Amino acid sequence: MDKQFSEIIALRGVKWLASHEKEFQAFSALTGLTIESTRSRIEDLDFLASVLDFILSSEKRLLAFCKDINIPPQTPLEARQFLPGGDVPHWT
Amino acid sequence: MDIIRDKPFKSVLFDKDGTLFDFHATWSSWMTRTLELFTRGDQDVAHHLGKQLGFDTKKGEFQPNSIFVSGTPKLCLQIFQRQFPKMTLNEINQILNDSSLQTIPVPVVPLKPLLSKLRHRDLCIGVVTNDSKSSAELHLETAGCLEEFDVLVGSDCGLIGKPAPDMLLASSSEMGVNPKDCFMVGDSTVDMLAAHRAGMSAIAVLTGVETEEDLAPLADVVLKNIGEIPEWLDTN
Repeated sequence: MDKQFSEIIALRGVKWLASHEKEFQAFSALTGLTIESTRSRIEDLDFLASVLDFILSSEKRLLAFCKDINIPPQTPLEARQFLPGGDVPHWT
Repeated sequence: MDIIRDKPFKSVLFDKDGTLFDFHATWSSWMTRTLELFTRGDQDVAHHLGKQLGFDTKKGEFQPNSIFVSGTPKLCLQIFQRQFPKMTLNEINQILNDSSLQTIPVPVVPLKPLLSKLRHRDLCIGVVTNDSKSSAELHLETAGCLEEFDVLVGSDCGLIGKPAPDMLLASSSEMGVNPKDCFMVGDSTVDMLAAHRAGMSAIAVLTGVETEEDLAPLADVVLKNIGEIPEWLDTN
């Protein structure tokens, strides 16, 4: 797994949010972004990190996303580590 | 996994090597011939050199982590030079280049029938490759299907190559199609990243060097090869 992998998972997150109206409204309420304004930021790694953070912030949302795009539930957190601010310390 | 769409796709973009043309079928026989050429038929030396390049001379195939596949061309040249110290890097490069130009890529499936099936579904068809446009034209011409493509974009067309979305977006705009209505078919992470960045659907095929395990999380759909596209479109 590397940065390209992480970017793709996050981009799939953008697409997933854009096709789930309620989820996008919640994302929009937090970030002020519209679907149009997300388009200009798809190569912005900070933006992509924020998308994964948003998905990871609710277990229900995380599981729905992973089920829809057919990836294991731990993958978004793993992907998050290769994006800005993702160097989460491990205490174990 | 399926892509749920309320209207049909209008365009398909293909990567070339590993997608339209089978990577292993094309380059494994070239590698076998090249090693024979360099070692003048000495099988032990060929095996030793092949091993360093990640190529199994006994099976006649590349290993998944081969330097030839994932390393830089320079690294490969240096491995050759270690074996043949009297040759310069330029000389080795010249021989490799000449023999690769004569290589005829092996199509994954007969391309012309497949492309006309796609055309019958009202799809515009394009090729987006990090190879040069002239080399792509030659390969498609040899495969007898160059005229089936509406657009062909290569690395020498003045655009940033994949994984940047630029070549994909240039293709869809030339076709007059919204990127949302396009799907990109490729064999690598780079193709998948370019497709997602361009806002297109990403279809992975397993005729390149990356495995299903690598590609499954990155693609909207994984198919065995491009021959499965018409059936996948029908069930969608």
